[in-house]
Amino acid sequence: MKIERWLKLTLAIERILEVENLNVKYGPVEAVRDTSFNVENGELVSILGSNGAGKSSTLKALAGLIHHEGKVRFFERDISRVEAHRIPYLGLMLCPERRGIFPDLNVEDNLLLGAYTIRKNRNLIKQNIEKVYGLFERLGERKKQLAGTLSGGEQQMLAIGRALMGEPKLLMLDEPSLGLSPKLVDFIFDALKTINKSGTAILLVEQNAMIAMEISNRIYVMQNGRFAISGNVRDIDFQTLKMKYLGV
Amino acid sequence: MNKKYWWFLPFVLFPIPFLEYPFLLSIFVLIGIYTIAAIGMDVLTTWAGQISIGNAAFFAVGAYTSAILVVNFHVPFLIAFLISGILSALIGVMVGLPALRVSGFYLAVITMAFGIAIQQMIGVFQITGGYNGIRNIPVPTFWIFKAGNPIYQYYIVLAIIFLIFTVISRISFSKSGMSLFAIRDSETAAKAFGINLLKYKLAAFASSAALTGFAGSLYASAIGFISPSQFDLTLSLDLLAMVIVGGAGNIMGVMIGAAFFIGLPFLLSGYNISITIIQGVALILILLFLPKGLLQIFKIKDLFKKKVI
Amino acid sequence: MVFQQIIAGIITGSLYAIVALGLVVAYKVTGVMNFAYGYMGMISAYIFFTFFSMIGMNYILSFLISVAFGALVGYSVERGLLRPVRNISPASMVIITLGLLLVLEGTALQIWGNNYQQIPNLLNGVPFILKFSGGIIVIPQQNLLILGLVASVIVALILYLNLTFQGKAMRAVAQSEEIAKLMGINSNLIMSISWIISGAIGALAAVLVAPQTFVYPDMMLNLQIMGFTAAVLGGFESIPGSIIGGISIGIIENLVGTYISTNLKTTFSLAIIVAILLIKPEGLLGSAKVKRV
Repeated sequence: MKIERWLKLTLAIERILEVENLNVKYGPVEAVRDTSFNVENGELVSILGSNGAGKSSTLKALAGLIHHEGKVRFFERDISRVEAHRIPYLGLMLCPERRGIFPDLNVEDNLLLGAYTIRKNRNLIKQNIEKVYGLFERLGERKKQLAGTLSGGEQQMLAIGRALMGEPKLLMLDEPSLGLSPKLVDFIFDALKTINKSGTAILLVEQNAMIAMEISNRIYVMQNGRFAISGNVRDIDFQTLKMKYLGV
Repeated sequence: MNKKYWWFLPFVLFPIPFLEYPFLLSIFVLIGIYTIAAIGMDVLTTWAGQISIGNAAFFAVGAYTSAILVVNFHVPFLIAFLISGILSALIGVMVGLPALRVSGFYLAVITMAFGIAIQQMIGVFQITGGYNGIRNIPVPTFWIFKAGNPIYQYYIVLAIIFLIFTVISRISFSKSGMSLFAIRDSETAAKAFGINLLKYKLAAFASSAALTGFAGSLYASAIGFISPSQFDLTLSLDLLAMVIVGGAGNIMGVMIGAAFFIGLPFLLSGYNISITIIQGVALILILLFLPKGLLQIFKIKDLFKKKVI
Repeated sequence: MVFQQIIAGIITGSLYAIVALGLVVAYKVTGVMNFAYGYMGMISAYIFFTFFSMIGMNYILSFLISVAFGALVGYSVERGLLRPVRNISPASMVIITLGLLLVLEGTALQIWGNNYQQIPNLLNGVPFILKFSGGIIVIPQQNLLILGLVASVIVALILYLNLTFQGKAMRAVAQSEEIAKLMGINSNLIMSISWIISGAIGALAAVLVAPQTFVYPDMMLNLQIMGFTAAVLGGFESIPGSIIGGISIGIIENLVGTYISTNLKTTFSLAIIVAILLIKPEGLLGSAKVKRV
């Protein structure tokens, strides 16, 4: 089905991401075992868990970067076997762990590459880049600066801004709080909330459970490749969570 | 006698059926000579994990040193032979000092340039006979004994290979040998263990150069005529290919490689096929599909447990 | 006359620079150091010879066909030989290119033989003469053509890499193939394109240098080594690095050739590169990177 037609049909769908029995193996090591979850339209869902629980692998599998077993449906379209570079065209963007910006390109070029999927539409690109500069003023001040010379927080802003350029329907982020000061973490997560409010669904993977729970609708807690808990944020007691599952 | 030395026996007996065919024998001699040079290349790749595409230079240094000493200065062959190896080792150290401190890629670049530079230099100076080279190099003479018949040359070369094998076996199980393997597998880890990388790489480089130089010296006397065009890039690549195609880390393997590359042109001399293409294709195919070299196919590998590494 | 030599050095240096560029582009985007680069170009020079001297086609047309052929060779090598084995070690990749070198050399020998074939210059008119207080500089028209073409290619490459989406995508792939894919960039396609560009550049260099070196299987050996040297000097990293490396080596080589000896040019250039790497192992303009264990 042609992408444009499919994208129009997607407007009617509620369950935008459905993952069934996801299995990720690195050789003999099972990183993700038989995991199922979903994301509804407009939601902000977090996958929490300590280091090595399998959270990153989950996102990488969804993005098509690593081989996996199981079914992944995005807007009811099976994307389990779609190549990584085609997935952004469907509206699914990953903000990888450790930011993943292009260090030898400047801020503007990084953002432009985020718009690679809409590169034919010059006007839309111009609009979107202004929106990103509006959301993250600091980026606007450093348009020509090499991304590798940015601070950690600026790089995270850049990574998020870049992922937004193509107007994704679902934005996935891998540990955006990593290595950032508490103030910056607050700022970034405020921005994520704003992004979510404007209609972009977000799937977040985080070690910092507290800040993630502040902005999420639902959470899943991953332990050894499986979900130990899942549910609405309102229904979950943070203290129990901390003690039992987050290895604190 | 130690079991691992038994594999020499067949080679001692091997040429006997061919005594009537001096031409065949001289091909065996040539294979033996190139085996020595290939062992030199093997030492560098398998021990120090470095790629050199300029070893033809050391082959040339050995050949020309030996030839000039014997022809112009009437130095006895044995002494010329030894000097060839030592001089090559010294030059190896000179090149290795700067070259080994840089990344593996750059080492390949430098050795490639080095090989060509030496080839050019040889062609320029008078003492080396310029582009015409040196002719009428006499067969190796040991006091009054002239090794004219290829069968004598065969046993001389075999003895040298045996000697080399003995030395290498001793070294590879010593502390120095083990350090070299550590370097090959992971430079950064080896550094962490305090192993002085440069020292060992230099030693491997010098040994490689020496062996190749020795081979060059034998080559000059065996062929009788040398000129710059014989020591080109293709020779350097052939030496590397012998190790890869035959089987690295193993004298048997290296010998198979040498036999393949030296024997092939003779076998195919009747046909109008470019040997170079076959050599290139063989190198690529073996590297991809038979990474342990042709040695893998010959199951006799298990019989001959003379793996040095 | 020093200036004459310097200008001549710039001309040859520009060829070294462009070869270095071709090497660097392929290396940065696909991680393969192509030791068969000169030999790929050599085949295109033979194609030129075939069309121009053997078939009798127009010079410029033959030129264009050869460059296009070079692009095709680049694409074929990347797609057919290198991509299927992308996961092997860098050292093995080098060896594969060495095998390719032998195959190309043998192919040329097989098809066209060992003889030195002659190719004329395109521009044979009255040389450019510059008179100034210091003396006279004579520049053959062909050399101006070389300089002009090389400069154009360099400018085109810079514009491509900096101003077009695809060019930026190529720089992205050079930095991280995985993250480029996350942007929707077809990294396989970009890698093929980089080798197409590299191949075309190699062909261009070969055909430009052919009138001086004659066409024979090893014709590009010197240019290849110098190109590598220039790339190493520049840190194997960037366009400016390759250009500066190439021009510098060209000038030094020419001065050495004039004032010391023509036959030892390679030796001296080798000595220089060794000297520089002794001081700065990453090359003049390179940046030090620690490898992961």
